[in-house]
Amino acid sequence: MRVFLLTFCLCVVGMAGLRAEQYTVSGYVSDRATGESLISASVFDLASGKGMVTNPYGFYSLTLPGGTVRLRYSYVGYAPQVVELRLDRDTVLNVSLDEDNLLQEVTVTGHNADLGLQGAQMSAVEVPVAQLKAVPALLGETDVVKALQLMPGVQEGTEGSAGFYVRGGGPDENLFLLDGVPVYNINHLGGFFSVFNGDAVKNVTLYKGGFPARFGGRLSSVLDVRMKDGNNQRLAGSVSVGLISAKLNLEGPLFSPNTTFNISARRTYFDVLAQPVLWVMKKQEDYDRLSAGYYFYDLNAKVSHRFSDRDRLYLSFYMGDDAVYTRMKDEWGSSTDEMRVDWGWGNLVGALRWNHVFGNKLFMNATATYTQYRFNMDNRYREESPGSGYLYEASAGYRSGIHDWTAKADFDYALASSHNLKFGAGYTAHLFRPGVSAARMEENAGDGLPGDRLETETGDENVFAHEVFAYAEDNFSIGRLLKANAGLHYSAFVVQGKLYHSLQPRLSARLLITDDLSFKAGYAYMNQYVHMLSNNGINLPTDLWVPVTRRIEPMKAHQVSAGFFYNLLDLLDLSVEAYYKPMDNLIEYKDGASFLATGTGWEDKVSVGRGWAYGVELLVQKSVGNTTGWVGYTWSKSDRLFDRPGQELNFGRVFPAKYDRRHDVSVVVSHKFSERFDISGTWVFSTGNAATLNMQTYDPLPGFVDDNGEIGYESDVPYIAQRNNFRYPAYHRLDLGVNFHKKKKRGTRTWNISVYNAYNSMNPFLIYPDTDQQGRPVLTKLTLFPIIPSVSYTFKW
Amino acid sequence: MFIVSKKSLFAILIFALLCTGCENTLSLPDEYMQPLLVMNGLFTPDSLLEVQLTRSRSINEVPESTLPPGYYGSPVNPGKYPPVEDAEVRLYVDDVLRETLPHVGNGVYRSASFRPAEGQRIRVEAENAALGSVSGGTALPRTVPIDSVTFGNMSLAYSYNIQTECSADGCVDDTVGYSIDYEYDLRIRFTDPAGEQNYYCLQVEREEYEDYWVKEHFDLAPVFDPGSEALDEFVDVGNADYYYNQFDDELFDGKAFTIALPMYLSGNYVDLTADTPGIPSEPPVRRLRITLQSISRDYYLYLKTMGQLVGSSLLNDLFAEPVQVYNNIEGGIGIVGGCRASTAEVTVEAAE
Repeated sequence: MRVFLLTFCLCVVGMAGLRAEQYTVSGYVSDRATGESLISASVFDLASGKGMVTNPYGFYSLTLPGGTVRLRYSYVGYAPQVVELRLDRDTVLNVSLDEDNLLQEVTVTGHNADLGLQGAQMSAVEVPVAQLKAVPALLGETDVVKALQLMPGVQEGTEGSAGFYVRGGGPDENLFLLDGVPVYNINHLGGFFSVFNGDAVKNVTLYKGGFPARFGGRLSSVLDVRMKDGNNQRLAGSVSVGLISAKLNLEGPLFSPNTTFNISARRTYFDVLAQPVLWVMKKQEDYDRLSAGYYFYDLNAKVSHRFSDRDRLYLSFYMGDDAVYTRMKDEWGSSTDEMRVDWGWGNLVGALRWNHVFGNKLFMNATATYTQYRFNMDNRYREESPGSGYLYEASAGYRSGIHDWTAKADFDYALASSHNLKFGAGYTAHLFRPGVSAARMEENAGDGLPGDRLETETGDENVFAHEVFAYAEDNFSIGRLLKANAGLHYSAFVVQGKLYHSLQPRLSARLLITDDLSFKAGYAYMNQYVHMLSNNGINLPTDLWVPVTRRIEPMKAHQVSAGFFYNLLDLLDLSVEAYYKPMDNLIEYKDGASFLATGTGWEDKVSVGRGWAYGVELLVQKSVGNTTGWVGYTWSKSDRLFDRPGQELNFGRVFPAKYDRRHDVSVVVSHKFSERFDISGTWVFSTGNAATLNMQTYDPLPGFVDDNGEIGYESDVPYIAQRNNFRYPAYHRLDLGVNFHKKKKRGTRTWNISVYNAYNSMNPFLIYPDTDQQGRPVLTKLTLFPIIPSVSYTFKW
Repeated sequence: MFIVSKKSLFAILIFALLCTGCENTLSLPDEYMQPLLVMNGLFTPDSLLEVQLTRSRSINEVPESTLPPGYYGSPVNPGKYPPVEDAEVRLYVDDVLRETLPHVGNGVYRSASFRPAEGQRIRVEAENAALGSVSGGTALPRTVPIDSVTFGNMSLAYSYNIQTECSADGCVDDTVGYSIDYEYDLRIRFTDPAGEQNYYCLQVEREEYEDYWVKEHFDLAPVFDPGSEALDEFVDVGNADYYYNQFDDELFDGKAFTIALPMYLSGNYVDLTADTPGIPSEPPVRRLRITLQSISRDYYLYLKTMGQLVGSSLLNDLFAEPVQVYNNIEGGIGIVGGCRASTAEVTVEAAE
């Protein structure tokens, strides 16, 4: 017995002695040439097999056993770096990587990267910005959002629009974050271009499901866009001039390498180019004045300051506006007829951010933000005859918008090598202006006759709301085969004295089958407290953002997803995913309702119902080498049912969602022949969108008594069998682009020549009943963009 | 209400015209081209049951001018929606076949003797070789009588009618008469049956001259939806949800309810004798006929959606959602509904 006890004690002491001390290695990973932090860069210990990825600020913290460690730092498009060190205390190690996109080695997925084969995160894509910008686009305006529309599971809606429909969800079910700040309307010109200027963007990650607990507030997707901090080595920039817009980007150190700035600006000049055409129209119509136009601009600005390895401060700002205007004036004799129309919409976003590292394991990001979206319509008409004193003046205006003020704190805590915690909390004050119409009319009949004056304002009152959230998630490993991200997101929303709150579990897990094959599954429960009311499938600025109310409850969705991920020969990433997403408390405009009819509050114009979406997505992606790109295919279905008493749509029967599309194929390829020449191309195919179109007309029930007391009735009543009864023809398009680069004395110049819709496919933008020149009824298809070549010039230094 | 006039739309869309764009016609699959059998009928106990059958027209059918000569159709749209005169139409009452309705002309099939009664379940089936089979059913609601009709808030406004007479000596204004306007509230009281959902339609007519009645205009929206006020100075449409004066009993289920309608009537009088003729304080005698129809739910939904359709058409609103007009015909289009009317005739008099 004594021998047994002695042996036992020796074992315990021995084991205690054998247990190694744990130390933390932390620091930042950045681009050597520019000093830009690298988001989701892989940090992997070759000895222990443990690793993690950098956070959105390029920070990492890895706890490892003491002794010799060999850390491999890698990132897409950069040469990996291996650092060997003796780890005998907590260590700060900042690493800079060199750009090199030609490497064939595995850098995309990396080991223990969050996304892709090894990571627990599923239903997420991170495409290098350079690859997104290489996708040829309409009028040569490369756009990160339009490139992401080519990913499986993401649809663009109508021709050319930047509408975002993810896994059967609506355009308002996506959380667009610009440096962590929500942007409500990401569309310029009805969605043909997005607000994200590719020159200012550093990283783009799209989550379509399996949402980590740190995200909340939307049902269908999170698009996390991070802006560049600025080059801390030297002043750099680019100027680009295209067919319809000019862009300028400047970045560099500000007084010292510790302070950097990045400014990007873009403005279209289509209104200027249109003036000669308008001059001709003015002559033809015999107007005294005719001017009209459309333009938009974006301005991104960011200043970053590094106090030390522990403290960094960021101030970022975005402002963008669209404007449509018309001025008409006609004079005859002494009389004047004048009309003026102005539409404007835009975003204003600002954020102040402080990063602080506590010890070596706890990273904090504290943020104060402001975001605003507004939309105005003004219409003025004036008719005057000074000789007789006659004056008629009428004006009508419409205003809507939303303002958010937010304060939040997010923490990353490297609890252990196999547990990485994220937690945080925040508060948002919302101010909604759902829509107010003001109309004024004044008439002075002249010649001493009495005049008339009317003035009225109708619409919904401003609504204040308060939102708080808190979350905690753990990214952990169980052995080598199982990795998971589990978390809880709690949110509460108070509006009109009513409290809504929910606890939303999130789970995403990966089972490693072989080194090249993994199986993933995920579950997420999401709540959404804001809605966007949209009258049609085109993303117009007329779309209204409204909050939940005492009568309209939050939207809810569960999403279950599962899939296989395979890495082929370290070159290709293949994935197949299936998802199912039931949704509740969805809202849609009732039949006949319109945002313009402000005599009725918006709550009376909508119906509440439910929906469900499911589908399968296939993706083959190559992100390194001379040839990059992807092929994606989606099969999906999305239906709606609005059958609550008094709120029936389609008479309480199931109908397809507006953006239900059965098949979707996209092929994106870029090839770099040399430093001087590269080409890119995309081909897309999709079956038609759903739309409501009456195919038949008929005689209604006779017997209404008309104004003359006669038996009369309405005629030509349209017969619509069900909502979204019609399928547009299939859509397909080929875009091609080629870049010619040349190094100059002070920088590099690039000529880009691209062709949108290269084989001139007449895709439908709008289909409507019409009559031909002989008066015969026909169905007319309007194609907006036939083949459109474009050219742009960029100079980068 | 924001006004998007045609002129401003032209102005706004000038930019769109500058964009390249193409239009061409589209050929539709056959499934969209097949016309459907349309059946309409409103059943009341006061008349023999009848339905009218026509056929629909797909949106790219040839216009009626190319139809064979001598082809006739409905009274208002002759030839556009041809009546179906060769169908077999069967009437079922409480699921029992009662009769096959004979065709009496113009697509109308009328029972020889049947008048629907309250509580009966009525179903009509029609079958045509080319257009297929359709069926629709309804039930006749109970009559809801008008309890009383009263008046209130009578007010008088008047103006003199001036005629300018010119001669070689100049022009002279002469009073030739006067116009009077009486505004008053018309109060219609009735009691809604409890424990059931009821639907109504209201009509008010005035007697222009003996036995000639003219429909009076009024707006029910302020009665049932006080928050929605039509901006009459800008758009004279009224609230589309009550366009055909239909309403349900959600606000007054099982209770007595009074509908107060602001009305007015006017009179023009000639009086060449006085420069300031005396204005009578009594309103011109007008007889009113108030009809409160108790209607079936199907017919109520039909009226409501037809009103929404008319409303969105009148506003010419580009942004309005398309309206699906309600129909309860399986396999086809149309409406069969039930209606029972209660009528009161009153004379407008000065209020006490």
